[in-house]
Amino acid sequence: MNFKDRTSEFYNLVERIKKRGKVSVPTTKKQPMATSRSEFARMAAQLGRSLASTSQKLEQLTTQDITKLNNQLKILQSVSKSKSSSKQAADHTNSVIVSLQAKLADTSLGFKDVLESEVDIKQQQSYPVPSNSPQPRRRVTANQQSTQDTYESPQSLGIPMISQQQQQQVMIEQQDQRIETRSNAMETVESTIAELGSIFQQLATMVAEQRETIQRIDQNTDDIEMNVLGAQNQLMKYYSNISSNRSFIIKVFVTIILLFLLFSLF
Amino acid sequence: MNVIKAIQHYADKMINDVPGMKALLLDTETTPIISLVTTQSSLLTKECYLIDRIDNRNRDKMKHLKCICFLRPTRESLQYLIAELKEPAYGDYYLYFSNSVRKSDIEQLAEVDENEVIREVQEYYGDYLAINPDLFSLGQDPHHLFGNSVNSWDPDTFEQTVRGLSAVLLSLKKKPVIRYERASAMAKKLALEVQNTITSEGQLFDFRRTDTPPILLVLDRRNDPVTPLLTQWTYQAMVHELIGIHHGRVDMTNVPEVKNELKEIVLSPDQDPFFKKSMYLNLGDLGATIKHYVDEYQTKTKSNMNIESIADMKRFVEEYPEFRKLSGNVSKHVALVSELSRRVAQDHLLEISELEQGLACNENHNSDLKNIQRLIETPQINEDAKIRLVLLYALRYERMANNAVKSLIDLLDRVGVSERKSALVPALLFYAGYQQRQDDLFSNQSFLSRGKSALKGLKGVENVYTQHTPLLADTLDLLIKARLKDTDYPFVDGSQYVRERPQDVIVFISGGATFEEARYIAQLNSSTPGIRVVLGGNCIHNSKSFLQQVQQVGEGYMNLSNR
Repeated sequence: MNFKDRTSEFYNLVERIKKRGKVSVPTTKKQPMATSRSEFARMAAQLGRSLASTSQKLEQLTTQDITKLNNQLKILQSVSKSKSSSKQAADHTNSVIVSLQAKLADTSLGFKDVLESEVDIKQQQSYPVPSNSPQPRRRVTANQQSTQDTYESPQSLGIPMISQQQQQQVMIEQQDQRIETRSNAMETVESTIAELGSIFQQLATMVAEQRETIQRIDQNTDDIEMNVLGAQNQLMKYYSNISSNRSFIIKVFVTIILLFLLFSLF
Repeated sequence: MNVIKAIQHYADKMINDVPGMKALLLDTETTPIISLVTTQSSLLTKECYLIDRIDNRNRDKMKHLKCICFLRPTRESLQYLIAELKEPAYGDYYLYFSNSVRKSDIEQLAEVDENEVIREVQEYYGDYLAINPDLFSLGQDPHHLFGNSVNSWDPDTFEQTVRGLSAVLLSLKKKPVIRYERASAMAKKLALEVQNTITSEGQLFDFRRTDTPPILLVLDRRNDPVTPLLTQWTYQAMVHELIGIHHGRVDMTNVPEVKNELKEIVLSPDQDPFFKKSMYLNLGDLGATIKHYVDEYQTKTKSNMNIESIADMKRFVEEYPEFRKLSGNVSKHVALVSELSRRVAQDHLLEISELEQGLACNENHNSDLKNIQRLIETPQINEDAKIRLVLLYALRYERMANNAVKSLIDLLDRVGVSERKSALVPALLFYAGYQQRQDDLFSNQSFLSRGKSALKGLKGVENVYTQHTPLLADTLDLLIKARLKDTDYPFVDGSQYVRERPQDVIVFISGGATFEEARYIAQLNSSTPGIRVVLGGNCIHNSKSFLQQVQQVGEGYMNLSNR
């Protein structure tokens, strides 16, 4: 049940006819276009210049310029919309606007990147690297401090001293807790990895088991092939047997008929 | 290899591919194609609520409907389609053409489509009438068959035949090897043109290769003029012979004492299981099966009569639609069969048919002549039947030196048969006489075939009225055994193919097929596994339409060639 889809062909034709229709539209509005286009070009050039200055200003982290540029772009768009008439001119204005927009977008993106990187740097500075510096050494220093504190306590006798020691103790407890949770997590990770390992081992044994059956199937197909070949040979033998028989029968018949004719005629 | 399934598949795909409520627009050519394979109710179940002709211009605007157009890409339908697209009455248009569309036509459609309503343009190759699962017809008028001479095609008919035949091949997904009848110029031209189409549309015909290529065998009606002349006794063939089947419908308006709702009835093997079962039975067996059918109906009626409990009532209500359908079908077939048997009695068909079969199958000049003279002088017998007898006589004994064709024509004149009709005898001999035929139609031309037919006679026949087998049977028999001679039925591209038994055979008879041949094909398909045959023709002949064709030949071309 065959069929042929010619929809795409049809649509192609429709497209072609549409294009042909557009081309054949008379281009009478060309002259007023020229002035408006020069105006447009002037504005576009201005905008380009200001864009360039903005990219310079970016280093001084000015955001206002971008919004202003955006507004200006919008105005430009509206101007082009109100004036556009012929297709090519409209295309041209469009492409100019699009390229300007792209540039603006690039600059604003660059600005954003700069901002973000700055923010990152600030964040890194503000947080006192809990992960990078090794924990145990900190504890040692804390202990040393505490021992120093105990040594100095009779000399100083100040309340603030004690309070500092307490503070440090609290800190140590917090750190211990954190370490404990970490070690717990490590343990769970280790156990899951071990589980995974056992699963993979099981899989390996299963695959090994499969191998045997596959080998058996392979053997069986070999057997089948042999059998088929044998059958074909037998058939061929039988066929040749039959054909030779047939010719033999024909010969016998011919001789009998000849003999019969001979005897009956003479 | 089932043509009804093929067209049904196209119709279903067309309708299922378009979601939502839709209308179906057809043209004069595609209406019978669709109506032969589906019913309005089955279309309605698929949300196809409106079926109309595209040439009907006063259709209401219904923008909420989607429109499926299934059209044959003729000039006329394209004009209607363009007019329709200029003022679209429906929301979306899905165009399906029943054959390949020219690029310029698509371009024109694209130009006209100003409202942008066309959604799809497809070619679905359902360009023929699927009558039985293994019988198709191109539905052409036998009057427009011949061109300048009796050996050439009418150009329009020829184009449509090539397109129709390639549509059959495409819808069955076959890229066949083509063989044709050597003696027939028309068959040769058709075969060559189909081959051309296949090569030029190479991409379309690029199907999966089968081990043995399918065969398209192009035959000519003139090689076997006997089959359409015989009285038929199997159900479908008989209805066509005596009443006429037109696009699957039987017009019963001329039948006396027929109920109003049976004035026009539908005979479709696809939708009527009883007809499917009994279409190839002869009248005697048909009587028995129809009795069974009526008995079945009666038991159903009885079981519907005794309603004693609520459960019975429920059952009755559930079964009632089925029961109504059955009763409609029973009364339809009973009416048809009673009409057939009435005609058999009225026209003395038994007597005529016995003689016809004798003429077609056995050579027995003296008794045949005597019987024909007796029947011609019997006034109760129909004129057409008398003519047919003389025609058969003329065909069989054409080469006999002392045949009595002249005296029989004189006898026809004497009993008052018009000259127009008796002119058919020379016309038929001109159209399909001994010199025009290629095969040994009556098996009397060589010693061997005489011996064969004598052997056949010794075996005896089961049924005197259906002893004739069409010539197609012998041809196909040889083809299936791969013994059909290349000299008589050459290949189109001249190449020698390996002699092997074909699996799929498509037979096309230019000048029309008959239901007797269709019956033979159906029997062949069911009795030999592994072989599938489909038969087709420009039209489906009964004796009346065949005689019209012969008459046209006689009036149009015989004088030309004599001059």
